[in-house]
Order: sequence, then structure tokens, then C-alpha cells
Amino acid sequence: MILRIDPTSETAVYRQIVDGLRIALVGGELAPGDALPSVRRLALDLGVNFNTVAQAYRALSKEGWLEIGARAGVRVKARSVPKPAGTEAESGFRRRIEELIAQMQAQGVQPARLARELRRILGTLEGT
Amino acid sequence: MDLQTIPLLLTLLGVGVSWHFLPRFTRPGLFFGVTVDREFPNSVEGRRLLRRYRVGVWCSTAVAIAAALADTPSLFTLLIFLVGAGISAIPAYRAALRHQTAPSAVVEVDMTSPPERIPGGVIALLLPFALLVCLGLWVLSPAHPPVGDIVTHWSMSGADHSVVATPKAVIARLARAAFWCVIFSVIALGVIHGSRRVSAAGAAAAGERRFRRRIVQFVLLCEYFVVLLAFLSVTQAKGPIVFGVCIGFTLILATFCVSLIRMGQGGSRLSPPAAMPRGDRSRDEFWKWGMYYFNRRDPAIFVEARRGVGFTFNFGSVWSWVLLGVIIAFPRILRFIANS
Repeated sequence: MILRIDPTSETAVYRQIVDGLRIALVGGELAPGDALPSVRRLALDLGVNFNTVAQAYRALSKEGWLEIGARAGVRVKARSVPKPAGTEAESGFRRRIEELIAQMQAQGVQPARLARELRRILGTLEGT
Repeated sequence: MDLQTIPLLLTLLGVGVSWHFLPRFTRPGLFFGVTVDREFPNSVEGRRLLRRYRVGVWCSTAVAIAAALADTPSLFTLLIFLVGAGISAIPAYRAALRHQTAPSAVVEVDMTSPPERIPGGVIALLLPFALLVCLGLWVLSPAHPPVGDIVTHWSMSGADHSVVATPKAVIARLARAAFWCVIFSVIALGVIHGSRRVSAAGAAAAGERRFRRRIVQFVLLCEYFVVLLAFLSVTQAKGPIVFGVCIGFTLILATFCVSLIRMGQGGSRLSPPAAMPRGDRSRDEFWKWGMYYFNRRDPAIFVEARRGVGFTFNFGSVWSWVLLGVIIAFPRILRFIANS
């Protein structure tokens, strides 16, 4: 699984790591038991501070995706499916999608292109 | 011209030849330490820059050789060359900056690749220390016939330099060798565990991995050579034996260098150019004069050099300065202790 980070992007590197890994975890590219690079190794390869990577790993560990051990390193954990989100969380989720769409439109991405991408993602989701 | 000038002249010629080719020994898309279009080095302007730089390098080599023939101290002749050649590289760097393009910004990491290991593992790394300890115990044991002197310098013309082989002198000689073994071990570990990978997947990543292994083998070879020299020193090996060993070692090093050049910087010649990123994924503003990498935010101690084949320090890292300080200070401290 290849993690891609753009240091010149407006999105914080920490956020890019978390989002990139979460996509791979949800999509099954990273399976339970898989070993991930150590904080030090990943920070070196990305050219970022150790704390940035540690923070990203901690966030995913908090979500239940990763197990951070002193000796065994970082491993993907078998994650139990959480309870369905409440209405408040769902509206927050909808707002985030709307924000993202607005941001992309502000950057000049055509609505037709966005709709195409969303349909493609929907197709993937329905397939799983 | 005495016999001792010949190695210096050969060194100057060798350094001149290597600096001649240095701008070509980089990753595709880098020229005089600047990220440029891949085709630029072969363009009319690129070739013109290269020609001017090479004229400067050979003028510096000629001046340094003349200084060597006039019995100038060897360190000073090397300094003449380095200053002259370095100065001739700066206009080329500035001219290349006018053709600068953005490097591949996206950094890729393979999250599931297994960690890299030192060739031969920990045993290969620690064996030289064990050999030095065994050598010390053997030389200092009562069963061993007393060693008269320890050779500290083998001279090409005249008598070798030596000191009386007291236990303190033997320990000091072995400690010096151990120190260099520590330095080489740190460099080997630094290349494997303290440097950044440029390519994440495919042939480019495999080539880069092979390149790093070869560099580490090169460093380990130097480590074992240090132990061999310590052995020759305490066993009072004669000059011809030592020169034979040195020539053999030089030939092996030359073979390694040729193999590294054939691989290209970061193994870039082992995979098709299309698979390679433009540049080395680091931004040009962190490369001072296109030669020295200085990035405080980058935790890497070693990074791939932008000129030549191999690695260089990240001068923005405190650990690089610590390592450099130890390399410079420790031999002097050891010599001071030995003299006092």
C-alpha cells in the first residue's frame, strides 16, 4: 500500500497521513496483523517531524485501527464495527461532504466532474 | 619530485577526473544541484555550462599539481583544488537556477515494505570490534612474545615511524581503530535507518534498495580494512606487505566505485527513466549552492547527494553536527592522550 503525501498542500501532513491510512484500512488494503513502518521510519521517508507521524498513528489508534506496541511496533488491529452514528453525527458528516464539495468548486472543479467522482465512490461503496 | 609526491599527484588527478564527471552522476532531472527538465543537461545551454565548469576544474587541478610539484604541503594542495573547483561550480549552479523546474512534490511511502537490514546483519557490524579485542588480548597476553614496536606510519621513502609497544600504546592504537570502526558503523546504520527513500514502489524502489546495500557494503569494507591496518601495525608488518594490501584495497574500492557509478545515484540507472520521479523529492531551497542540504524540519541525518554518487549530511540536523564533531575531535583527543 502506497501512502502519498503532498507537503505543499494546504491540508496538514498529519491530516493527510490519517486520511490516507484510513482509506487503506477501510478498503482492506491494510489487513489486521499487517505491520506498519515505525514512527521514526515513516517520518524519515516523509521528511516530516516524528511528532507529526506519532500524532497520526495515535489518532488512528484511538479510532481502534492500530495497535502501538513498544516492541512489536505498529500493527493493524482487528476493529469491531462501532455503533451506527446518531443523527447529530450524520448531519456533521453531511456538512463535511458539503464543505469539501464547496472547497473543490471554489478551486475550479466542475460540478459534473464532482458528480462523476461521487458516483464512482458510491459504486465502490455499494460493491462492498 | 620525491617518491612521496606520486600518491598526491595520483590523488589530485583522480579527484580532478571525478569532479569532471560529477555533474553527470546525479538522478535524472538534477543538474548542478538544481531540479531542471530532464533534457536540459543535454541541451546547448546545459552543455555550455558543463564545459565552463570543467575548464574551471582542470585549471584548479593544474594549479594544485604545480603546487604539489613545488613541495607545497599535501593538505594545502588539496585545499587549492577544492577552492578552485568549488568556485567554478557556483556560476554553473546560478546559471542552472534560471532553468529550475518544480520537483515531484508528492512523497510516496510503501507502508507494507519490510524493514531494511545491514548486509550480514549485526554480526558483520560487530565482528571488527570483536577482532580488535581478540587482537589486543593476543598481543598483550604473557604467552605472546614481546612486541618491540608498533608502526604508526609506513613511509614510501625513508624509515617507517613507530612507537615502543607498551600496553598503553597498543591499547591506544587499537582504540583508534575501534573509533573508526564506530564511525563506519554509524554511517552504515545511518544510510539504512537514518536516510530518506526517494522511490516507494516498483523497479525504482528496488534499484534504490540495491544501491543502499552496495553503499553499506562499501562502508563495511572500510571498517574491516581499518582492523587489518591495526593488525599490520601491531605485528610490525613491513612496508612492501602494507603497500600490497593498500593497493589491493584501493583496487577493491575502485571496483565498488565503478559499480556504484553504473547503478547511478540512488540506483537511478537500474530502472527506466519514466519510473523515476523528477529530482529527489526535496525542494531546491534546502540545497545551499546545490551542494549542502540544510533542512531543520527533516529528521534525516543522511540524504542522497545532489552532486556525485552517495550520501551527504543534512546540516540542519543536530545529529549530523554531533557526528561531524566526533569525527574531527576524537582522533585529536586520542592523540593528545597518547602524547601525554
